[in-house]
Amino acid sequence: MKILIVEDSERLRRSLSKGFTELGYVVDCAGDGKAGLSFAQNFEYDVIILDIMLPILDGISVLKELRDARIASNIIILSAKDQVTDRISGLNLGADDYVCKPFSFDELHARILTLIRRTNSLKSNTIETGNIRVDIQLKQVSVKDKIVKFTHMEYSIVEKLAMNLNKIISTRRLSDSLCESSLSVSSNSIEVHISSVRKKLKLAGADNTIETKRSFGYVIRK
Amino acid sequence: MKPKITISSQILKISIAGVGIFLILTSFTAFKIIEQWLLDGFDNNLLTKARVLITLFEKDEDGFEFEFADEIMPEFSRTESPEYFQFWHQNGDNFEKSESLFDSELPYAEELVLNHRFEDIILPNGHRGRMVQIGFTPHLDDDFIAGDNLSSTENLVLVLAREKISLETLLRTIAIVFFLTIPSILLIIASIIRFAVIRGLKPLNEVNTQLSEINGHDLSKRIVIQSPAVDHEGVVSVLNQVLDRIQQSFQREQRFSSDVAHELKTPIAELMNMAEVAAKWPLKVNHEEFYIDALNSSKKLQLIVDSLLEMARCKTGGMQFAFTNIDLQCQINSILLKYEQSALEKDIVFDNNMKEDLQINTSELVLDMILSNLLSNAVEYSAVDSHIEIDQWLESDKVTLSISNQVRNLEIEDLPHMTESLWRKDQSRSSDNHIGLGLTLVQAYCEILELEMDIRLELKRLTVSISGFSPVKKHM
Repeated sequence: MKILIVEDSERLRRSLSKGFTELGYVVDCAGDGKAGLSFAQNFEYDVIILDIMLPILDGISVLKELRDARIASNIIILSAKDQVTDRISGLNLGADDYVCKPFSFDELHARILTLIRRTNSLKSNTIETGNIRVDIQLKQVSVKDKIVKFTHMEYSIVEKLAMNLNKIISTRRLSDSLCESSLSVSSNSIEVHISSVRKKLKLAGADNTIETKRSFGYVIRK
Repeated sequence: MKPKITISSQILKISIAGVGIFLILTSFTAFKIIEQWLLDGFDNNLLTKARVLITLFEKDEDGFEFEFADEIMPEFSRTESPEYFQFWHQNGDNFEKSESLFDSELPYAEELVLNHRFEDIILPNGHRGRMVQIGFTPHLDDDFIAGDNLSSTENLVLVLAREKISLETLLRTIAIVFFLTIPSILLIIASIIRFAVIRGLKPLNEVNTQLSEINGHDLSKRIVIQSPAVDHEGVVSVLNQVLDRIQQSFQREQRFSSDVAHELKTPIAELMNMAEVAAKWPLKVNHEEFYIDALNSSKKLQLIVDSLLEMARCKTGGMQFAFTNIDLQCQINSILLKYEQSALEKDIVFDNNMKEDLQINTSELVLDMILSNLLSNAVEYSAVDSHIEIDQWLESDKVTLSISNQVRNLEIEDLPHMTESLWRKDQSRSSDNHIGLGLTLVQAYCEILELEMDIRLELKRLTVSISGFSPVKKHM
């Protein structure tokens, strides 16, 4: 899963980025509103953490622009403004959640998971397809209740496809979601990782696997 | 305790009570006057009739002669509401009485009154009536007078009585009219007063209603009264001015709280998250970076807390300072050293136009704080590759010091806000070195030293002047 953090405090940005990266998320960071808007417009994010008081372009303007451009990423406003009116205006403008500073890292993570569950119509933090179970909180994949050991990249591929069951995900979208936007993963590399995932799933006795749709991308069937 | 009486009900009650008492007293007096007038008329009527009867009396040589005919005055013989008369001799013997008396007699007063007197009596038919008693000397026949019989003249007494039912009925009717009129008039007056009071108090009620709608959530509403009276206009204007002031101070307070919250919460959030992440993944955190970040966040918190405490000390007058003679140029030079490196990084040049050997008498500590804040601001907010000018001049035996620098995005409209606590042009409040209390503190210091601060923006140059320093006169 990919997160964009738009926060002008470098220290906070850095610690959040570190924490979410350790949790297995792919994290992009921006220090001002303009850069944040540019990231959000050009890449696909599952969640955008957006500060309100930002240099160059404030968070509310960024939020408006994103919603006007019909960018559907989940947006969590992160702000020191804790007045009810501030929260209402933020949520009314299209934010999915509002977190006041100071906040707990775990709470922010829980809110991110809640938004992801809501977006993917999940009742819990797990996605099941056949006998494969993907735990998006623990970042684990299990087959017949046995954990299958995946690398970070392999897990990210399974998670992305599991969260979009029956939907074909193009190589470019897959590549975008696998690393920071400043980097890129080649289609060959993706092919290698997918091949490895298939082998591991088969070995574990999975009754489902990743299908390749030539010239389109990859899909996991329900 | 919540008041239970309204102005309108109070006015109404007092007015009705006043008018009611006035009406009762007036009506009672009027009734008494009318009663007396009617009674006098009744009595006059009775007396006139008595005198008519007396004229029918004559005395001649045969004695007294009473030329009365029932046909002419049938009221003395009728059975319904009859009138009565009776004549007595001076010795009390009955002489003549009306047919209506039958066997009864009218009351006779022993003493002879040649004048007349009235009295309420119960008539022979049992009704209440009124009588007039009059003593008189009968008219003497001309022949009888010619006979020189004047000495034998005898006085007689006449009592004439009649029912006064009609008078009493009339008085009762008048009393009833008065009795019914008073409440009716009171009711009409109450309605008029109520209408007048409601109409008069309508603007006041409007003010009250509009004021009750104003609360802390929305102070933008103002009191507007449709067609206000002259005496309301002043009240409304004053109330609106008060509301303006409340709104301004509320907004200032709100902005200050919001700014303090932001200034404090961001470093706290930084520390909390850094600590949480470091605790979760202690081996994966760059410890050196973590400590530096934690130190910087703590420094920022310290800067905020120190500045806020400093401001509180200034405002509560808790600062201790002593006045000494200070060489202004030396003082400025020593402060400039602190900002030399920052200025160098931005290619900023200090144009120090201070005169040598200028000494002022002031608090070194406070002056240092003033100059440090002004120069720190000038370096922080100056455009890259610009000049900061430091000048001084003598005016009205007082020294003025000014620091001016080129600014990037400051507008004239920003000037009034520059001395407000925690105001920053940069809405994102990103800078770690400044929190928006510099000029607020400078102003507070100036107030302590009784100096004046002036801020001007001309051609993108911001000039802050501090005037009122006392120069030290050199002794030859």
